[in-house]
Amino acid sequence: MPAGEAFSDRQRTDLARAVRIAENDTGLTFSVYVGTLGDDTRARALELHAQLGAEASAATLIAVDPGGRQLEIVTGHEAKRWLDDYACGLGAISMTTQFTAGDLSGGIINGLRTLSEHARHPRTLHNDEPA
Amino acid sequence: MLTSPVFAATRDDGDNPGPGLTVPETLLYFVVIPAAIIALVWLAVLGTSWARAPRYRPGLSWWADPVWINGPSADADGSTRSLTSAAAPSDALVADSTGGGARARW
Repeated sequence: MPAGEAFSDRQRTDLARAVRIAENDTGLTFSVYVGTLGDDTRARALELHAQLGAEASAATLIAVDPGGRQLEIVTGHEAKRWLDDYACGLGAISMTTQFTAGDLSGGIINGLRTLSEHARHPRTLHNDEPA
Repeated sequence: MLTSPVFAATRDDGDNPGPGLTVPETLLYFVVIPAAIIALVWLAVLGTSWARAPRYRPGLSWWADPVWINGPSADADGSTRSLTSAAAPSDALVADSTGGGARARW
């Protein structure tokens, strides 16, 4: 098939907005990559995550390989403190559910929503207790 | 009803048959115009899906260029950019092995 655009302008706008909302809600950086990840998807996703540079530590990369039907979520060292692997797994489920139905952009947007809902700061009990 | 063509052979009082259709006229009225109407309806139904970009279907090959939303050197407003050189892996950048994440297939 010839190369083309993965998303329509409308979908791109929606995706960018979902990323912005997730970042505002959590204070973390979110990045979404949609493209081929090759054979070793985890290694490629880690490479892409590292390319985020100085932001990588507090960044979460969502890497989607539609051709290989693979999804990788990579959290940086700092991001992992707020967004643990369990939450990432929940986000992955909500995304792949919609990917199965052929809805790439909708799945990513829902996944971002799930991730940002779970990326809350851990409770510091002595501060959260009512006085 | 079955015998009605027989009556057409004999002229009745007051009937006024016009000039007959020539072969090109017959073809125009009974072949070309109906075919044009059918084609028009067919286009109206199928044309919308032709105009739309190909959409992702699980299990088929992926056709689009890589897209990286809010990737490195993205604009401050979080705008998207397409990768022209598909982001060649850099040896200088070492993956952060202390991070976490998840993976899934569908």
